Order: sequence, then structure tokens, then C-alpha cells
Amino acid sequence: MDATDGPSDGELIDRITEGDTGAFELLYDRHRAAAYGLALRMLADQPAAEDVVQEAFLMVWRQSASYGASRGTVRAWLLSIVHHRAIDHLRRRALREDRQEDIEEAILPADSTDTWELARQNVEGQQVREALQQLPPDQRRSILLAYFGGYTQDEIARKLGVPLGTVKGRLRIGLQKMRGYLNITEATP
Amino acid sequence: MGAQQHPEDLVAAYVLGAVEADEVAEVERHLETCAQCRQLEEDLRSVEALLPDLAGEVEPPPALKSRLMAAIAQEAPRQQATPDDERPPAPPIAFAERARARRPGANRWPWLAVAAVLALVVAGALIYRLLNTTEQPTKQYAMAGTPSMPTIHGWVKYYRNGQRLELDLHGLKAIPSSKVYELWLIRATPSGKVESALGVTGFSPSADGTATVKLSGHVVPAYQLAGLTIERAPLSRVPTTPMVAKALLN
Repeated sequence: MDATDGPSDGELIDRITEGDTGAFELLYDRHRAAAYGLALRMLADQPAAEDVVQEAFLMVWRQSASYGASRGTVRAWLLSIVHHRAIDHLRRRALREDRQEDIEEAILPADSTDTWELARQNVEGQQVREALQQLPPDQRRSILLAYFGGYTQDEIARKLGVPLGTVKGRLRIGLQKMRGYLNITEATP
Repeated sequence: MGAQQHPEDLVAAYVLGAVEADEVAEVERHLETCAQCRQLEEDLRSVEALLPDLAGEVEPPPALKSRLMAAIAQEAPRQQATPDDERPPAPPIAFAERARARRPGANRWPWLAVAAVLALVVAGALIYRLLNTTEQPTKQYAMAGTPSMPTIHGWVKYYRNGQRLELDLHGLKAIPSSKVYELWLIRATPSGKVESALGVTGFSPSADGTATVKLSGHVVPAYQLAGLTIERAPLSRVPTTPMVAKALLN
């Protein structure tokens, strides 16, 4: 949701801690689409994604008192809960076989835009996508398998047929490169 | 793993959620004692926090909110601020079950009073919301199905106040759970050539083929066309299939 009028997310969390269901509803309306989008991207299954989003928001309701600014923004905290819940779901149900091509294909731009020809404007995450594209394919694939595929580093090593140490290095170096790229981009007018 | 061995690479996997449960505990123990690795974690988290943006936003079905709010309502009394000295001990069962389980007695009435007040507050809030949803759209545009799905009909409603957009559609065919309907706002030249297509949101129809989607922050009249395509879930960054419905926006 792009609506940012009204109380801040932090204020909503304070009110939720006091049992304010209206504040909870507002927080849900603001972040439901981001939460559902993430869950759906990871699980590729609508009922499962709905379950994960519901579980995540229920956890926010129950544990709002444990939120602190040191945990990042409320949105980041919420999406982190969604991410972890989705990973639990993936690992529990072993839904993730042979999905690595899907993940990369879904995240990275298509070569052809068919009859529409032009990319959509103001894409959420465009900068992050550009940062991802700067990475060597092996680092990029490892990060996507880990984050969106829910694979552990051992599973990624087996899947890609490389030593575990190689995967560990790819994940760290890839993230650090992305951070560097994003910082440079942010500093550019 | 001692405090002197810095598992930098394990920290990266930890941040991405790519470690097993036993490794999580191991990393967290190390992070408690190692400022250097905590700094690395913070650095990598700043990137990890942006990764959800790659997924894009998708509107969940309205029924999800209903289920969630119903679940919250079950738990709400537990969290309502009540002075400690008036709060009875709360057994770990839902409020409704607890109310049914209690026998009539002197302590019952304060709870019923609190529940009654809460019910009034909730009912008042619902009525307030209902009354405030009667705002008339600034403009509304008819959306109709293309030959590939002629059953679609409905409205794209635009409210200038808050630049809100409301999509109200019927006749949407069921699609596989791996796909979503995606709404596009399209700029086109006077000759009809598409200049750009902004993916606004993805959604799934209800079982009866209807969908109501509400968004804000979009100046709908700035576009010439609204289009609907079916994309692979959660949504596509560019339209990849022909439009199944469209609405002229002027």
C-alpha cells in the first residue's frame, strides 16, 4: 500500500499493544499487499500465502510489545516475519523442488515484452533489481534460492553442485556487492 | 565456533534465512559476543530488508482480512487495557470459550460489562466506516471484457480525494492458483500506441467471479486506458499476455 497518511506505523504498533483493533486494521491495510506479494512469490500457492500472511499479522498482534525501532521499520519487521513463516512452510511441505529457474525468471526482467514493448514505470524495487543484476549469475542465483526459494546453504550447494564454502562466500559477497551498489545509487542525484 | 572465529559467511546465510535451526542458535550465540559480526549482520540486513521489494505487491482476497479481524476479535479482550487490580487471571483459552465456561457468579459482571462496552465500540466503529464509504466517485469508467473473456464487466472508480482507485468487477473466470489478474494503467499516444504500462496491483477473484480492489495514490485520469491481464503469480513487471478487459479513461 502506498497510503502514508495518518499515524505512523510506529504509532500504530503502540496502539496495537494497547489492544486497538482499528490500529491493527490500518496497519494491515497499509502492508497487506507487500506481505501477500512476498508470501505468494515464495510459495506460488494462494491458500498457503494467505495462511502465511494471516499467521504473520496475528504474530504482530500478539507480539507488538516486543517490537523496537532497533528491529528496523515496522514494515521490515512484518515482512521478516512473513519471510520466516513462508520458509517454515516451504521446508515443512517440501514444495520447493526444482523451482530455481522459476525464481530467477520471475525476479529478473524478461527479454521480450511481447506486444506491450515498454517496461512499467516506477517499479517497486527497481533499484534493488538493478543491484541484483550487477552480480555475477552464480551469486545472484544463490541469493534468490536462499531468500525466495527457502533453501538452506547446504541445499543450495547440493543443487548447484558446488562446495558449501563456495555458496557461503557467494551469499556474503553478493549481499555486500548489492549494498555497495545501492549506496552508490542512493548518493547519485 | 568461538568468539575469535568470525563466521562471516554463516552470518550472510543467517540473514537470508538459509541456515538450519541449530546453526541459527550458533550464529546468535556468536553475535551476542562479537561486535564485528553484529556490524556485518547490520550491513547485510540493510540489503535483505529491501529484497521483498523484488516480489512486488499483490492484493490479497478480501476474505483474508475478514478472517484475520475475526481472529483478532477473539483475542481482543485479552489485550484490552484494564487496570491490573481489576483484571482477573486469564486462562489460556479464547474469550468466548471462557465466557461460556464460567458459571454465574459475582465476578462475571465486570467482564460482561467490558465485553458490552467493547461490542458497542466495535459496532460504532463499523457503523462509522459504513457511513463513510458512501462517498461518490469523482469519475467512474466502465470496464468490459475483450473477446478473450467477454464475461467481464464492472467499473474503475476514481476518487480525487486521496487519489483513490476502486476496481469493482464481475464475470471473472477462475484461474489457476499460480496466476493472478493484474491491473495496468496505460499511457498511450493519440494514435493509440502504448507508451507505458504501470502495473498497479494483482488480485484473485472470489469464487463467484467478483473482485473489489481498493488502492490509493494513483491519479487515474492521467492515463488513457486501464487494462487487465492474467499473469503468473504474484505479478509481472510488464504485461506478458493479451488484455482480458479494458476501460477507456477519458
